[in-house]
Amino acid sequence: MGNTINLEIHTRCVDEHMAIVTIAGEMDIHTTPQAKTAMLDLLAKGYYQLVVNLQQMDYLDSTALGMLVGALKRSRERGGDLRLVAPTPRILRLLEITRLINVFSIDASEQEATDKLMQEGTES
Amino acid sequence: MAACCGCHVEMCLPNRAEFVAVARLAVSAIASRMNFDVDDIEDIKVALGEAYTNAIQHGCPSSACTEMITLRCDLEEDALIITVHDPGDGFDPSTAMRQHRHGAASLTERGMGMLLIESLMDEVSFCSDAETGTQVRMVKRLQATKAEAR
Repeated sequence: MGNTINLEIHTRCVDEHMAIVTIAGEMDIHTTPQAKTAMLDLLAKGYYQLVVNLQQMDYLDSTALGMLVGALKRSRERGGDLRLVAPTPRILRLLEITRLINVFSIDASEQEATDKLMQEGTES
Repeated sequence: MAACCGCHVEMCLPNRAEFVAVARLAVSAIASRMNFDVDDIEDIKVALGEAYTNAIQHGCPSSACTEMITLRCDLEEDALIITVHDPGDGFDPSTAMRQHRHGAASLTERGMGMLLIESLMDEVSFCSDAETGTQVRMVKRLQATKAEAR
């Protein structure tokens, strides 16, 4: 079963503290640790302004939501933030059910998210 | 699907995370054949995935555990009934949900699975004890039946 992981993670650094993480595929109890490692690596390297693009995310469960909440907490502890980009209607529904829609900032595009993070960085 | 009405499908799956996707695929194929719509199939997939994940996390926490998780689908005329059974001592689902409801504002990372199952399925029941293990029973009704009920 080792080669059947349906998850792709791409990271791109915007500046010394900001990075964009694109996660595509299915994030569940099996695949979420891979995404968690990528997020923790970025945080450990000082990227605490995170944009997570979910546009190509087909499936996400509570394990994945928990991982995103954990990354959000850690980024805020460092004075940063984590913003979600373009979640599908299915994922939005799960965010609503879990009330995490009130916890995460959600943007329509990566540009919008990075602009807002830069603005937050300037204000803080 | 009328020919299969009243029949059931039962699978014994390993207590391993990589098989959750297998269970999701199997159940979504069954739901599709029963003519559930796309949104309902997605609901069923998430709920099943959460129940299986709970079985792995609470049913047999040791990584060396070789016990199997049983997944049963009963194909009724108006509903799909999914039962996930694990051999573990179980957990208190109401506690897990309460923790999340109280903790959402403080960014809790756990307890969301039960909330999703309860929200996405039409009927959910839990049965748990040390001797027989834990069983989660979830019912999803076909839309036509829901419309008739209204």
